[in-house]
Amino acid sequence: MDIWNVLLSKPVLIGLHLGFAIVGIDAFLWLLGEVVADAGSVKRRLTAAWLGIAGFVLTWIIGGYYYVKYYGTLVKPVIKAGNAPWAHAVAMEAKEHIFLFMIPIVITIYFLARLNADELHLFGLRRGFIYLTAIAAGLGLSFGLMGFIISAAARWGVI
Amino acid sequence: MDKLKSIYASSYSSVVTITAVVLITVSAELSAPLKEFLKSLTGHHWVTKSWFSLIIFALFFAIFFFAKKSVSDWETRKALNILQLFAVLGFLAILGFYIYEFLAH
Repeated sequence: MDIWNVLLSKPVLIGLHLGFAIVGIDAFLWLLGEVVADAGSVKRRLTAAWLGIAGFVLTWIIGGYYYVKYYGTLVKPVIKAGNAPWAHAVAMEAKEHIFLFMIPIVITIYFLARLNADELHLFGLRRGFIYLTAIAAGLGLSFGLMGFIISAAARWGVI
Repeated sequence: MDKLKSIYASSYSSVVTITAVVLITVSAELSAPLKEFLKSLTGHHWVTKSWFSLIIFALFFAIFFFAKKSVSDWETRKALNILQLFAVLGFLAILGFYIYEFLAH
């Protein structure tokens, strides 16, 4: 079995999807802490923002591949036939579509991270930066909750 | 200042993208031919919507970025506030729509 077969196997795909999502959420929580603390290092903010963007882009590509290749034929029918069909109809549908505006939001956060602490105060953008970063982390956490609901419904929904 | 213009353009472009994603998502659920059309473009309706969201964002970023020579801090703040509002409304609109759809059928 070559490395691609391992990487493209279902459990590894789900693990990578979850792992990169955690990287993205944690990076934006880190960035949130930097801005709330009014820390002066632009380099650290940009590192956190880049890490967050990379995490969310990779979780999108990997999760999208799994969703298109396996979810519709293998997982969705199990959930719909189980005792929590709403896990697909609500959680999965909402998660896959709300995620589509995550990337524009985190790119905007990257542009905000380029400003130093003095510029943030001077332009009055610090509060908006904090709120938008909190929204990005909150959206990420809500995707995690929806992902848990979907996995639980697929695993235990028929018992 | 280019830093402010980037934030301004990215904020308004994100607002347009969020609005477009909500509209295409709801429309495709209510119209089977539209969903089929989206599917026919890439093989999966969600993949088409993904490309659609990226293209909309890039296109409107360029439009908002080059439309003005410069933006004030007040205009940038306003754009950022509107984006926060639309991010929350977009989340609630899509989640609310699918909850309604599930309960109604």
